[in-house]
Parts: sequence; structure tokens; C-alpha cells
Amino acid sequence: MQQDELAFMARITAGMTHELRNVLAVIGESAGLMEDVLAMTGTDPSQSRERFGRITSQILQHVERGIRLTAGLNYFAHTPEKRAAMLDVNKLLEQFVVVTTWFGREKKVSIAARQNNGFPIVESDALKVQMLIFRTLEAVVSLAPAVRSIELSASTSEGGVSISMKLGGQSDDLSGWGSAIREGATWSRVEESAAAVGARVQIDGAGQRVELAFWPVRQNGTK
Amino acid sequence: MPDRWKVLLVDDEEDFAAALAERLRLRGIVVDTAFDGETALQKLVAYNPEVVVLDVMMPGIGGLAVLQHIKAQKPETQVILLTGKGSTRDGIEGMRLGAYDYLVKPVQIDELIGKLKEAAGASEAATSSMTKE
Repeated sequence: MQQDELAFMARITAGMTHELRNVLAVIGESAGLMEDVLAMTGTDPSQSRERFGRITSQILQHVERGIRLTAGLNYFAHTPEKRAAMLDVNKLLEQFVVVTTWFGREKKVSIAARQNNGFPIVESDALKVQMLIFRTLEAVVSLAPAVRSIELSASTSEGGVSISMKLGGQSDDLSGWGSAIREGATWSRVEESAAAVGARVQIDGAGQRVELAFWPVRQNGTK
Repeated sequence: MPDRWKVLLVDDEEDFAAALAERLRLRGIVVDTAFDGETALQKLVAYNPEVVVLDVMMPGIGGLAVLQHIKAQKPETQVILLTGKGSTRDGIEGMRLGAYDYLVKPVQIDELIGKLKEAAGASEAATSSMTKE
């Protein structure tokens, strides 16, 4: 594995384990709170029923969150096994959003995946593709600080697959960033990553959408 | 140590902060919460806590930057950092910037309360030494 790939995996894993620690911290404090309430009110259920219901529901929500995070982390951990694999891009985006939850939180940007109709499948390197998407996200967030939401979706068109990043925020603040960034080192890292998987990166004129276009498309497993 | 010292608990993980605050209140400690650095700095003035329990990793103004603001504005306020990272690097950096101590999440409630009491005492000592000057 190359140095930049290792660094990328380490970064994602560190962010995810931080999220998981937060989940466990919430569950731990909630369980501790139940213990405290029980110790205070004894065995009389009428005094603590409503409180227990609220705390239990909170614990269950965070257990669900933990399950989603571990599933995402597991998918990500197997990424290096898919160096020349048929990738289900919808599935990849769905899991990518999970493993970058921490990044969105850190940057105050909501990152979501929208499932389009169709079945975009590509043959590529899953790790490098995710590196490209992540570097693009990083670049967009750092170069266009007005961005508040990013919606990822995949589609097939004109013999290729395209991953679209729809940027949300104040449109006046978003316009113009795209033309200003191409000179910087941040964007050259994106272009390096794109070149590594034969992709092309395009920013629309209004600065509200970034497209990663690449790969020969395969519909339902056929060319 | 003042009889009714106040704690400000700052963490962007809202459910964590709310549950921990409730546990502290059940033990008679006066607590308020803030879920980001900007709100914490507003409450520093309005709520005037003796001790701030501060998560290091937060969106917007991060914990270490909030710590620096607190020490510049109200040096007598004691700050206990909570770090969610496996590394103690942020905690050590925080101590260098004037934090009273740091704890690694998840925290043991008794350990936290012990630290809060010590920090409240240190805050009172710092306040009275500033008054004498």
C-alpha cells in the first residue's frame, strides 16, 4: 500500500473511532444515569417510568448509530481488497457517507448520499476512488467555506459513470469559488487522485455542483 | 471552595453532555451545558462558571481555541479538558495552554467529581489571589 493510501486509511479510521467512542460515551452516561435514578428512587417504578423510557430510547438510538458506524468501518476496512473490482457505486457512496460522518461534523457540513434509479457499476480501485471523493470533499469544504451541505449521488450517462456532489449553502457565497481554486495545491491533490483512477473532475459555472466523471459503465453487470 | 460552585459542560455530543449534566445535578452540582465553542464563550460571561469541562474535538471553534479564550478572558476559571482521542497529545497541549487537567472519554463519574472539586478550589484560590493584588 502506498504512503498516501495508508495516511488516508489512518485518517478515516481515527475519525470513525472517535465517533464510536462518542457513541459509547453516550451509552455509558445514559446507563450510569439509569443506575443513579434507580439508586435514588428505589424500586418504585412510578417515580422513574417516564425518565427510564426516555433514557432507554436514547440508548437504543445510539446503539443503532454504533451499528451503522461499525458496518461502515467494516466496509471501509475491506476496501484494500477491492483494488480492481466491480464496484457498486451506490453502495460505495452509502458507506462513504457513514465513514465521513465525523468529517461533516467537524466542518459543520451535512454530507448525505442520494440513491438514484439505475445500477452504476464500475471496475476500479475502491480505495483510490474513496480517496478521490474524500479529497474532493476536503477541497470543496476548505475552498468554499459557505458550503453547508453536500449531497452525493451516482448516475450513468454517455457511456460512463458520474458521481455528483451537489453543494448547498447561500448561492451568492458559493458562486465563483470554482474558478478561483484551480491554481491551488489543494485542488492539484484532487486532480492527482482523479488521474490515478482515470477520472475527470468538473465544477459547474455557478459553483454549486462538482462532477467526478469516469469509468466504462456496466449496467447490471454487462458492458 | 465556594459553597455553590458552577460548572459549564461543553460538548458537541449533545446526548452525552445532557446525560452527564443530569448525573452531576443528581449529586447536587450546579451545571449548565453548551454544545459548541461559540455558545460556551457566551455563557462564560453570562453564567460565570468556576469550572469548565471542555471537549477538545468540536466543530467550529475547537476545544483548545476555546481554552485559550477562557484563559485570556477569565484566567481564574479552571478548565478540565475531555479528550475523545486515544492520544494524550491534545491533553498535554491543553495543559501547556493553561488547562487545570484533562480526562479521557468516557470518564468515570467519581473521578470527574473529584477533579471538579479540586478545580473549583483552585478557581477560588486564583480569585482570592487576584482580589488581594
